[in-house]
Amino acid sequence: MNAVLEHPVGRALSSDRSLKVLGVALFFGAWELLPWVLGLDSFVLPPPSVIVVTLVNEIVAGRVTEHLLVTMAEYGLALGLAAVIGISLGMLAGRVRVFDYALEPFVWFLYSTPLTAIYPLLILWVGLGFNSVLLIAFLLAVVPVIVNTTVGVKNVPEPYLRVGHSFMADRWQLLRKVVLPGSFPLVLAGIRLATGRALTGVVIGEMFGANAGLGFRIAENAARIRVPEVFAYLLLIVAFGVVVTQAFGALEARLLRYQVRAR
Amino acid sequence: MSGSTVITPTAPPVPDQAAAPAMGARVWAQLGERPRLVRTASALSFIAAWQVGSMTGFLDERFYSSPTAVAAAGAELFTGTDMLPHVVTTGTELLVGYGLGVVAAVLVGFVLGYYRVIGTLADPVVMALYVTPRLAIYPVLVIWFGLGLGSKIVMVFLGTFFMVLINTISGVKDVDPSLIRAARSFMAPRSFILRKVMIPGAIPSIMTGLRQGFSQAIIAVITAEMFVSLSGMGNLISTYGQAMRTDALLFLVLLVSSFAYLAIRGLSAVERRLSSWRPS
Repeated sequence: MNAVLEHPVGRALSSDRSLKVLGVALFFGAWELLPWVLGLDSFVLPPPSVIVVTLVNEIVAGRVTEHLLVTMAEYGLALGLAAVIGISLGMLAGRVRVFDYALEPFVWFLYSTPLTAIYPLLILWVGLGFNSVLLIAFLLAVVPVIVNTTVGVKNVPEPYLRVGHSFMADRWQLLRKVVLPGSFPLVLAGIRLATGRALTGVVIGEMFGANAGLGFRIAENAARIRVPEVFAYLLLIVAFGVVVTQAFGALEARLLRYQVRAR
Repeated sequence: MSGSTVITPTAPPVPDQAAAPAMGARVWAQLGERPRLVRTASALSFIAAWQVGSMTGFLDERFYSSPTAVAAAGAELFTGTDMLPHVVTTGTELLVGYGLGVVAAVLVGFVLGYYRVIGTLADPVVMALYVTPRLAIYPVLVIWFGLGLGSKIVMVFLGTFFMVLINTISGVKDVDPSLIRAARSFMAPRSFILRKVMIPGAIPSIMTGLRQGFSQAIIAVITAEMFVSLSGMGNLISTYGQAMRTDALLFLVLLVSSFAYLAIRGLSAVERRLSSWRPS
């Protein structure tokens, strides 16, 4: 291992970033060659070059923007609602034990049920399209926010609360100035889990019962056996997921900077 | 979340609360010590409200069904023979896909976790596939592998694979390096280090992966079957959904989620057992 590291090429390879770039390049390179090696037609397994060309064609033809906007709107709303409602319920459950216990059966149900199974019901209740997509994405995303906020609030060290009391902080001040910042890292971790679950919810919802969105375009093209188009939209969804995850990671690191400084 | 270790933030008496009526406060405080009671009461009152709502016509029974209707549908499904083939289909897909997924993920995870260069090479691709909703690829799997078992097994495999993979990699990476150095300084061969240091060190994390992977596997199999299939629990659910049989649908949902809940509980019990030897 050390001998490899002393070699100039080895040193270049030991830089994480260049290795990662190389990894992505290798992955797409292998994929590009695979259909050719196996003799598969591009409507069975399209190589990345075909997928990118298809995606560009779709964008130029104006078939992407509208659906991307719908997906983004559903995603943003679902995640926002999950954060607000999840944090509120979690705060309450963290502070009031009886409420925590009362909430538990419902949280367990939401956690262990494959929520797609109730999707036909959701459609029945709120109608096909935007509403039901929003609802399923919200239900998927809200659970980790509730659970993490509850644990975060419970774990706020008791001396902090006592100090707050000694300085005559009222309930609201205590919540805003002590409990919320104290549970912040766990709350953010909950929202990070929610970012992935909300995306799953949105895409599945759109695939099952919607007439707009990236998931809808996947289902629509798959029904017509247009594999390159399906992969083009999959690529968009992967990109969406990666961008959201990276952005949230950066935001989280920024918001938690005070912690590192405090240490 | 165990009851005994929880800090009670409300403990320090606030002056204005001390004057509050003692009776209500005492009952409230006692409820705080009875998690099981509160949970049961909460779930039961939800069911009661649902029943009353549907009996008074406040909730339209066609849309929301009712607890008694769900129970009746359950009795009907269990006494009939319609459900059994669906259970068998789903069970087969789940077991085969999950089993293959676990084995593949643990093997690949050890390689990616142990060899830093290979691990870093694969990292962006693994992470990108991990954060994307993998169910979106299901329509392609149907085109490739058909409407039957094949496409579901692959879907379950993918759901399981990435969950177990991520956890195995982090488990292997997090094995205490001083333990490996200690083994090396005693001239332990590679195979010994693998068997006696790496595997036991990574097992708790792998178990977490097995648990999370199983819940992914259930979601994958049900969703895939609901999307396109010839038989299976998801198929049955979507058939009842299209027929607006809310009672049977809700019963099946409860059945699947109880199964998922019990399986996950079982796996976390094993998980705790296998990691109990570590100092916390």
